[in-house]
Amino acid sequence: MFESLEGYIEPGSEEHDLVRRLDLARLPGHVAVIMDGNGRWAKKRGLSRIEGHRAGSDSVREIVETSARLGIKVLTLYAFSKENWKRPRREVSELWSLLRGYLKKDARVLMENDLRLLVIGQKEGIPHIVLKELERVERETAGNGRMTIVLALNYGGRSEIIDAVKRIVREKPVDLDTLTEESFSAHLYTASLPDPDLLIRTSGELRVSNFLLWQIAYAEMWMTPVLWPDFRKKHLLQALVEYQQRERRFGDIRPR
Amino acid sequence: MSLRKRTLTASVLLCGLFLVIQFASLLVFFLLLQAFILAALVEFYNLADRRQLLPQRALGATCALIIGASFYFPWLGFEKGLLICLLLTCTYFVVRISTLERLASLPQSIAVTFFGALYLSFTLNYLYRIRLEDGVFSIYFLFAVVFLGDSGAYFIGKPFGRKKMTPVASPNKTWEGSAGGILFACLGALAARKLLLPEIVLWKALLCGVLIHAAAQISDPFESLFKRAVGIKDSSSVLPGHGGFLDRIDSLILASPVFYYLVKALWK
Repeated sequence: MFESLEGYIEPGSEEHDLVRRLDLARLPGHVAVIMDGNGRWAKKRGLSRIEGHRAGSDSVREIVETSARLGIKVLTLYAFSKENWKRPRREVSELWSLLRGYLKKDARVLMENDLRLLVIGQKEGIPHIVLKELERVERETAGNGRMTIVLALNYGGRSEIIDAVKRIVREKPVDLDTLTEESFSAHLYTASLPDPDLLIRTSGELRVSNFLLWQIAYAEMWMTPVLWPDFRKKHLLQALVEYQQRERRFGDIRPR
Repeated sequence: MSLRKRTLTASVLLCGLFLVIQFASLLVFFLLLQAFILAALVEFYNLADRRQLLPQRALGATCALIIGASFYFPWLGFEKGLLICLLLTCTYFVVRISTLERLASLPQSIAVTFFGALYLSFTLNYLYRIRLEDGVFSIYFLFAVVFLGDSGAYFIGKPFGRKKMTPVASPNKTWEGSAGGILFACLGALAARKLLLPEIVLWKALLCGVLIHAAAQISDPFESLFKRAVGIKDSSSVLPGHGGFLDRIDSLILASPVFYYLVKALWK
């Protein structure tokens, strides 16, 4: 079981210093991460891209653990976009194999730590052998309440919006006058989740890449040149400290 | 051979195959593939020996490995690999043929030695290339189509087969069985697509299924033809219920390279 931060962060370390600067009562409720740079990380070391993804999964474990210990409620990870199908077929097949392996192995960790898994994206496009495992883990962890790990798979922000529109239109009598931002949000994949407060993107890219287009309307963005496999709790804490230093006004002139 | 024995051997083989394909590193996969090719080649040469065709095993195995290496090392490449094999073969026979009696057997010896290496190593090494470039899911797709197609032809052809298709090569093959084979190959393609490769457009997956099956259906009786020529049924009895390595992989021999190019042409 991941306990609190005590014992997890070494006293006197850089991480410890960062935690001391954090106001644990004002943490973002929902952190979303664009995990970029696995391929570049591997290339720099002369490894195959899949080794980069393997190394990236260690970062996922550490960030999940740190977030859970901090008390963050929702962590969304952009794992596989609809555009990622354009990658070499071998990389795609190894990515799904890797994910399936982790689901089989690590589902226990989710149960032990009261973590819930939720998948967003177009499920129809996911290889069935992986989808079966995903749905099993989703089902088993459905009652867990400490933190929700949202995995964006075969996800595209625009197609999410299109899917929401389709769903609204298909629902019997459409009364367009009653359509509000809230009722529209309720038709997105993320219906049950709060909008992200903080969006992290690694590896120095300054793009949104079709991720949670609707939901990040007022998210604070934090970009870092660090490649995802090098991303550690230190970097997450840095992002959180900076997030707390920012004034979030949501269009108002006074901070809320 | 009893169906139970057949099934048992098949399950053991499939488990081993799965472990290698899914978990072995590329190098280990490549090396095991070469071992497999050599085993099949030895069976092929044993067949040739029954007709006194004088296959030169050491030369053939060396050529098979050079062809294999040309797949593994991009700097070598198939053209250079083939040239080295030719040089080796010519040198070998120039040096080895020292008497007039030996001279008489030269054409058949060259033919069977060189053909065996090319027929098995050039084709089956495409499995390595498929795994390297297209990943394991594509290999499973190929296997699903080939093995389900084969089984379909067997299970439909056995009870319903009437009209003989290849009376000399495989007297047991019938048109009815062949139709069953195509049906099962398509089912294999559909299942593999659903389970592993949902991004492939449906008609492309089905077309691949039919064409791979067609290649497999040429591959299989061709190998039988060769066995009939030397007068036996199974290439060896290494695998209980299945005959030899050669019998089990005969469908893959032509299907693998065909599949590789189908993927390049259709799936991208």
